[in-house]
Amino acid sequence: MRFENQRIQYQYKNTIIHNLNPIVKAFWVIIISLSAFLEQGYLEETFLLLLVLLIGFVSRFPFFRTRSIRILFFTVLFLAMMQLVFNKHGEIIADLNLITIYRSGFENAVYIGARFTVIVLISFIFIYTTETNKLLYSLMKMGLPYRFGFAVITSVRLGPILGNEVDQIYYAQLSKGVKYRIFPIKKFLGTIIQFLRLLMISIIKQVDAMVISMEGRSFGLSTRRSFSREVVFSYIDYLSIFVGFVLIILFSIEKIF
Amino acid sequence: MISVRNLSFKYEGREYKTLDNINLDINLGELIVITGESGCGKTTFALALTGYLSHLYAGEYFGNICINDEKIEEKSLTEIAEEIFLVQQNPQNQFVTLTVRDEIAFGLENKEIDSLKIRARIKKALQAVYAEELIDRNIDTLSGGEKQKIAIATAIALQPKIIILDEPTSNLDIKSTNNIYKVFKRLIEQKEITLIIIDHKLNELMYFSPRILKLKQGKIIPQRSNQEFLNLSRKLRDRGRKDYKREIIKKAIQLKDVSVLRNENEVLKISSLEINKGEIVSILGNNGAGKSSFILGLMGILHSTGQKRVVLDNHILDIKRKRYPEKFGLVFQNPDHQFFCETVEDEIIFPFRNFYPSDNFNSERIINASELDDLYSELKTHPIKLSYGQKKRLGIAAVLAYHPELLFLDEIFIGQSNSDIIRIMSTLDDYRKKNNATVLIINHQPGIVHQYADRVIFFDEGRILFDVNINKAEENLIFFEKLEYLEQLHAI
Repeated sequence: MRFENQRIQYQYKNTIIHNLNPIVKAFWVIIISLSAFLEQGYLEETFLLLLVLLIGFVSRFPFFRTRSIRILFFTVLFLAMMQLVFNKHGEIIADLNLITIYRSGFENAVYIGARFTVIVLISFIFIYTTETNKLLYSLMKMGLPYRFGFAVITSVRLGPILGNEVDQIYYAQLSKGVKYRIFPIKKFLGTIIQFLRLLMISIIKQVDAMVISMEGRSFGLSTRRSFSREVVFSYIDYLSIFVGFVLIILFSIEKIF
Repeated sequence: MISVRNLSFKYEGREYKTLDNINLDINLGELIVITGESGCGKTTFALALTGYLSHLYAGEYFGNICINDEKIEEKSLTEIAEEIFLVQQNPQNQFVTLTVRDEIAFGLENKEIDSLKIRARIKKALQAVYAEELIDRNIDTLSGGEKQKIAIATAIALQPKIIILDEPTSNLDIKSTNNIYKVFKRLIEQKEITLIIIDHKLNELMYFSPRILKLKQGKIIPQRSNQEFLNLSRKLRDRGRKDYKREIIKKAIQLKDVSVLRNENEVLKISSLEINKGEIVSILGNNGAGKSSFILGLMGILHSTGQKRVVLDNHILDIKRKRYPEKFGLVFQNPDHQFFCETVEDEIIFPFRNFYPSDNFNSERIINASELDDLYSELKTHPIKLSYGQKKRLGIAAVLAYHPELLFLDEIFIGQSNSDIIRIMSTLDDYRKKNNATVLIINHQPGIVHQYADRVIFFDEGRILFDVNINKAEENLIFFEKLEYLEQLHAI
């Protein structure tokens, strides 16, 4: 198994999941997360996990090339091991030399591990298959106040710019002989403050440029705005919403009755 | 169309006027080029014309600006934006959205223009800047030149009567710069828009016969003819270099099979390279060719593999990660990233103190370093209060003060006038002669830098395309069909 240093971010692919309306995908994230929390049994959680894995495979999610998946894997393994080792309720189902596994420990290990994986993985798949821009434009068109929408869009826009600024300031410090050593603490804090002060100045300048750019293009002129993008719902989107509702009803029946 | 009357402005906290009693009339369809040394008030003047100075900036504002007989000081920024649009120096910083289509649509959507009309305007604006194929691209995937085209397209889509471009080609490589001039040519020929371009590159703009205005210390100085401007710039450039003859040639840098990595990806591969002590090396290449990675890899800031050796104090040493920083001097493009202290004096001393904590700092070093400019009279000033040109020179002064043997300068001439560049190059030339130091300069100004350089290395797509003596630069640029660089070699 080969892991590459790949961050989870939107990747254009022509899959059924990528082509779903972003709002439908957001709806599915909510439905699956809600179902994971509603259900108390390990079999149902396993079913949800298989469903999410299926969605992942259909969307061609890079399970084996993402660092975050490695972190998720080891976290789940740790949580499951805690249950297997310390939960000693119910009958013994396996007696290994080092540990004895009890039924309750096994069921909880599967249940907690699956639930954790479902919630994190569906979010990863959502990020991987959804263009932030399209999601926010769809939400704004459906009533999200546009100022809020653009607050998020500009934050996403500034992310890589600030990443570059951080690199530049760090390189400038190194080239001028600044060393990041924790001791003595006072010197270390001084170095951090130097760094943050420059970063703050840089952020203010970036924001200043953006404000000029937005003001110059009449941002905030009216409480409304037009949208050049169309928000289209295909029959697959409607079908997905229907299936999502069926799923949440099925998972809620036991709770309701 | 635009009339500026007795315009003066003093920023809050500054003791001098950045704009000083400017009077000017600009007509519809005119092409104006505003030039002048860095810090002379060009960008502030652009902010004044677009109303930002009177509306958003703290300071003392006198006089007025009228567009079609209406005072902009009495109009809202949105109303002013209907008439005049500012494309800022760095397009990267002014984009609000994530894709080209959304960026051009942004201003039109704010004005609640119908979606069909928006799409038509997007298409027309992209056609005007020769960028129709970029419509569905993510902004972060665009090159510098493409970003500048999109910034201009956002302006065109809004259909203002006046567009101001603040140093539109300063962050671009030579190839992208030429593409932007093609866009200007189209806009100027249409004669529907008044274009005000703030730039130092007069040679290319002369082709369009603009009206040239020169700012000096916030004032428009008496107008010279365009030919006079050209002659003056040529005179500056042709001051001529004095050849530096080294009697014994020693190696300073030896590289063999070196790969430089960013985020574990190979961005530069060098099979073999040797650079001599005392050389000034001009490093050329388009944006993204691997020039900065070369320098950061050499310094050990970026991870690299292969054999990297430097000769320091006559000892051959393998460069390890982040080792021997005191022997290297690095000056970045953006001076604001490099100042860590409260005064100019402390800033000059700062790296020396880090590298040699137990040594006494000889005040003569400050005097020598601050000779670069009027910095000596500004020793107690906060670096942030210096002009842009002074900041650039302070960045160099702080490095020269600790006497590095290898000096790397990464696109430091961006936004500098020819006289500023010549002043810095003369200082660097003197420094290498006194210290037998090696100076590597990444630049897009070969016309001036090659007056002083001994050698040129051209990077292309993460490889060295050619590495030759300066006398062979021209024929290699022809051989490898880098004709846009050839034009720049003869430019002012």
